Amino acid sequence: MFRKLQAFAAIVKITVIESIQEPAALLVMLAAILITLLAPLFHFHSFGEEGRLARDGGLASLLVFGLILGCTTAGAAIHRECNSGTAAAALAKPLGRNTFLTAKAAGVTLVCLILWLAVSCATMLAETAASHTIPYDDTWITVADSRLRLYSLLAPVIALGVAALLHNRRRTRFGSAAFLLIPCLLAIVALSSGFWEHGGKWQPYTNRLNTNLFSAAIPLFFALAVLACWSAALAVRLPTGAVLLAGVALLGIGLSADAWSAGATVWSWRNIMAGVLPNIQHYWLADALARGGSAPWQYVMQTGLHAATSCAIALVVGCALLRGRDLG
Amino acid sequence: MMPVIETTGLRKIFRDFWRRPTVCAVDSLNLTINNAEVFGLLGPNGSGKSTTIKMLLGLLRPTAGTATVLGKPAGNIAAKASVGYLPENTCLHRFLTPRETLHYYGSLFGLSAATCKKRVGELLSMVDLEHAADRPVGGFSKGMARRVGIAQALINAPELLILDEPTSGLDPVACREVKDLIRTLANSGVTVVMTSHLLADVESVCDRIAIMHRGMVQAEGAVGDLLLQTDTTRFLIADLSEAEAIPLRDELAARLGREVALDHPTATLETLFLDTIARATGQDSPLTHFRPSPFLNETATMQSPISGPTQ
Repeated sequence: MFRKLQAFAAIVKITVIESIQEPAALLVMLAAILITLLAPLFHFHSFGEEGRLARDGGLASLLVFGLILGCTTAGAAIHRECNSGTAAAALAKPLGRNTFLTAKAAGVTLVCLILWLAVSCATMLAETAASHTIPYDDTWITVADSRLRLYSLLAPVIALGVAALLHNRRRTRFGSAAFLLIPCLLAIVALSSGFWEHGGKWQPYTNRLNTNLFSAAIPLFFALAVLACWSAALAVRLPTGAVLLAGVALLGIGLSADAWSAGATVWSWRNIMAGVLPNIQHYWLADALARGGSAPWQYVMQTGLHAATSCAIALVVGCALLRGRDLG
Repeated sequence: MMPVIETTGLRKIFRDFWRRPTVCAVDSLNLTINNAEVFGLLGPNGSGKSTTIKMLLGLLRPTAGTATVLGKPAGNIAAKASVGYLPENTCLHRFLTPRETLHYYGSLFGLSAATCKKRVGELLSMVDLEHAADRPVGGFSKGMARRVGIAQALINAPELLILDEPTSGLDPVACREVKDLIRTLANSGVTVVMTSHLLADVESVCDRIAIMHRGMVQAEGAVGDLLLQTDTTRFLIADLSEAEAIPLRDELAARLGREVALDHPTATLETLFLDTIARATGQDSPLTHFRPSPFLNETATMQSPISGPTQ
């Protein structure tokens, strides 16, 4: 049992290292963060809801870029390895195919978790920095927190610089270091935002972050985990491009699940499909955050259970596909 | 004693996407490989050597027939704990360093951190990669990557070592070291199964061979038996001058009433190369270690730093 766990952990670690070292992974993370942080600058008709637009945009970025990262990582970690022979080299060791695939899926999910951390922090920063109406002398003015916005944008730049320095001085892997440093620096910027007011005046530490965001972001991570597991399962047979297409199709089917499964009888195909395929609507709770609200934590836990079931279904399918596959 | 590998009627038919048969890679393969022997699988490209090996490891599912490895069905996880495997194409994670690669494979065998560290150090030293131990393998030459592949195949001190083209991509010195390593391992009780296109490699290290063609074994047996030409006899005499040799030849020809050929044995290109390199680097000639003596049926081997299997 211990050997199995050790092998599982080793494959998860290798999957994460190999995945985050890929330049594409870093590009996806940078794109997701920059879109989240910069999009509020281009909202021209926000009707006083700049914060909400920034938040919704960030959560949407998280879902879309998480899907892209999950599918491409799964394709590289599983399909490419099956074709290149690294999977065969690992499976020639005392390692079961089920353990191999489950560990690969866990590794892909872990990569999505790192992206989730980074984009959640960026979303929180974008929402906090968005234009607010604040009292100024005897009147009210609408201002954005330019300092926070600047620090948020500098965080990825500094992360890249530090990663380059580490690569130069200590031969640390640049891609991995940058991928891990970006969420860390964004989190530090988010935590330090309590030291000044929205208008820019320094103050004793006061939390300005909308921590309720996590009640909507955590279910989105669950959705990404489900999509990652399905991507891992499909990558056993399909190349990366096809996995990405299948992932987009799953997302589309999942987002429209409430529409196409409505009114289905218990034993109808539609109902069975609705049970097997992930219903992404269950995980999209951005509206619950309106007017300072939060999604009920009991519901968040239920989405976790739903996601765990969906992941298990996906992995069963993936293990069956891998068991029947010849590895050259 | 139970054979280390036994196959009975092993067959593999590859199929296309629609499950239509495309090629019969291995057909009716019956092999028995015994403990501590070096067994060579020979054959042209596409003869089914690698397919056979992959079936033995459980990577490919046989279409028919059975195979046992170390007394257990092929692909059994417990059996694989005692097997080392070097794939034909060295498949490595390109962002990992050799040290990380070996630690990874050690983890798959459940080696403890201390054992793994010690073993990795030994193996890196053995394959002469200590200087590049912390560089990503993605930038390695084919030969260097092959050395990492050989090291990972030995990480668990295997009872059975399966080597698919072990000398592919290696320079002659490294080839010689690998062949010596194989003999050293076999002498310490490890069973070695290897494939190679380089017939000289197989001839110099294998105890028995099987020649495959179109998925079937065409010839099988001890190397010496298969190569022995009983219809021709050769005398080997040291330090015989031309003046002494010609009358002897004529005498024999006259006595036997048949034509007698006279020639001088030639060294192999490999021994010449190794000798030249050794002289260029100021070392003792490796020929003193390696040259096979036709008078003594033995070959001295260089001591390998790698230890035998842990019991």
